Formats: sequence, C-alpha cells, structure tokens
Amino acid sequence: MIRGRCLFRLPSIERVSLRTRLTKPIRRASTQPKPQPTTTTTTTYPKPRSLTRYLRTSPRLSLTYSFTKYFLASALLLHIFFEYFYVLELAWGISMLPTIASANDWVLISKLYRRGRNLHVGDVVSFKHPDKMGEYAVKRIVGMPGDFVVEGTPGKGGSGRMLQVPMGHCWVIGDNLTWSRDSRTFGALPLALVTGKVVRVFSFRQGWRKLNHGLQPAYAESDALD
Amino acid sequence: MAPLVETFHPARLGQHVQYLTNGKIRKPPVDLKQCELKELIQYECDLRGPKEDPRSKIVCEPVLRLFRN
Repeated sequence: MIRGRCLFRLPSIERVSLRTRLTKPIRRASTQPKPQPTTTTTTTYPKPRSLTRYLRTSPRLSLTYSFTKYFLASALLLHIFFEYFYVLELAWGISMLPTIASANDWVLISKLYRRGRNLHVGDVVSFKHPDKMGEYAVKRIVGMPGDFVVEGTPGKGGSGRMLQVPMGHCWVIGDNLTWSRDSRTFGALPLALVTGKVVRVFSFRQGWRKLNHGLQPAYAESDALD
Repeated sequence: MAPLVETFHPARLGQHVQYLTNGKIRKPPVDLKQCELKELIQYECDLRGPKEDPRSKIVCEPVLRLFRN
C-alpha cells in the first residue's frame, strides 16, 4: 500500500476521531422522536486539523519540524551577525605589505563602519572593488570628503598634482605603494562601497594583533616644510 | 565611475583650501601653518633577488606622508 511506504504516516481520520473528548454528555434517546427538519439540505465539510495536532501524533514529523525551526533561526542570526556586526575574512595579495601579509592572514572586519560611518584618515577599510565586479579589497584611507590629497605617489615623480576629494567619496591607498591598485588607478572611492573597517588581523603564527591607526603627530619640524 | 575632479599644483594649495567643495568661501579662512602637522608611514616593498630563489627577501622602505589637520 502506498500509505505504508510514506515517510511520515499521517493519522487516519478514524483514529483521531476516537481520541476526541466528549464535550457534551451523551443524550439518551427519548421516547418521543425528535422533529426532523423538513426540506433543508446541509453540506458537511471535514473539520480542519491544526499543525500541532499532526505533530503530536507523529514524533518523526515533530522532530523534523523542530530541527527546521532551529536551523532557520540560527541561520538568520548568523546572517545578521556577519552582515551587520563582524566578519572574519581571509586576505591575500601584496598591496598591504607589511601591515597585512600576502597570504594566510585573516582580517576581522567591523561592519559597524560600513558605508563610511565614523571613518577617519588612517583607517584600513574593506570595500567592494569599483572596477572588478564581485571582488573586495582592503586599503588605507588617506583622504575623506573635502580633503586635499596628492594624486600620485608622494616624492616619486608623476604629475605631483593635488586634488580635492569629492563629497561622498574617499581616497584609499595601499600600504605597499609600489604594488597597489588603489585610488591612484580608479580615482576616488564612493563611501557607499565601503563594507567595513579592519580592526584586527589574525594569523596562526602571530595570533591576534591590533591594526595601527597610522596617522600620528609628526616628528618633522613644521618650519622645515616651508 | 569616479567623478571628474580638477587637479592643481601643490603651490596653489593655500588658495584652494579657502573654498569648500560646493564652491563657497570657507569661513573663517584657514592658515595651513596653524593646522596640526601629522604623519602617516607607508612603504615601498619589493622582492630582492630572483623570484624563484627561496632565499630572496621582501624589503620594505618607508615613505612618509604628511598631513595638515
């Protein structure tokens, strides 16, 4: 029989009806016959049974239901945590040497700073690459909206010209100036592409280490710059 | 695509600083020499030696960036 081969055996209507409690006392048949309705025709529908009633009768279905419920809840919580709070990502590439190694370094990204919230010059940020679809990059912020920055590499030829970072954008440069494709290549980065700020770096050899902010009071004499 | 921006020679920085991004004059006017001087160290790292040689090392030379804040 087909019913015998089903994964979850549903209770038959007869079995369920036997378990229903009687809410009203059984009325004994009286001697006088009840007056029958004359010509009315009534349609009877099967009584809808709730999900909990099914689950009570089938332990296997109940187990599957509770497993699915907890799995979906935990998946939702993990998604919210990784999307809006913190995420650990494996970084690779030589553009951030020596701050972040070229391989086997994990970066802890705080999503509280996404879309440029509370960012400052010197912070290392993760962002969606504006030129390569689906790729992410990690660079250091050198200029925030309205700041004036050097267009190329300081002291290394090029035009040596300056520009003002437009509103809603920032200027990002890799710590390894020689081997980094950054704002010198693709221009100002929209703050909307920033996915978070790198707060910690982890490697199995060195453990957790805090990322230095970078921007510090200068040791150079101000008069020497004139 | 990044928006097009005007570039200028660093010698004219003192004039450009007096204007906001929307073109209005900054009030009060800014004297760059009075702003705090800050620095950021970045690097120029490159491989010293042949690429196939395991004894080759990556050598990083510091590059100093100065900021007026």
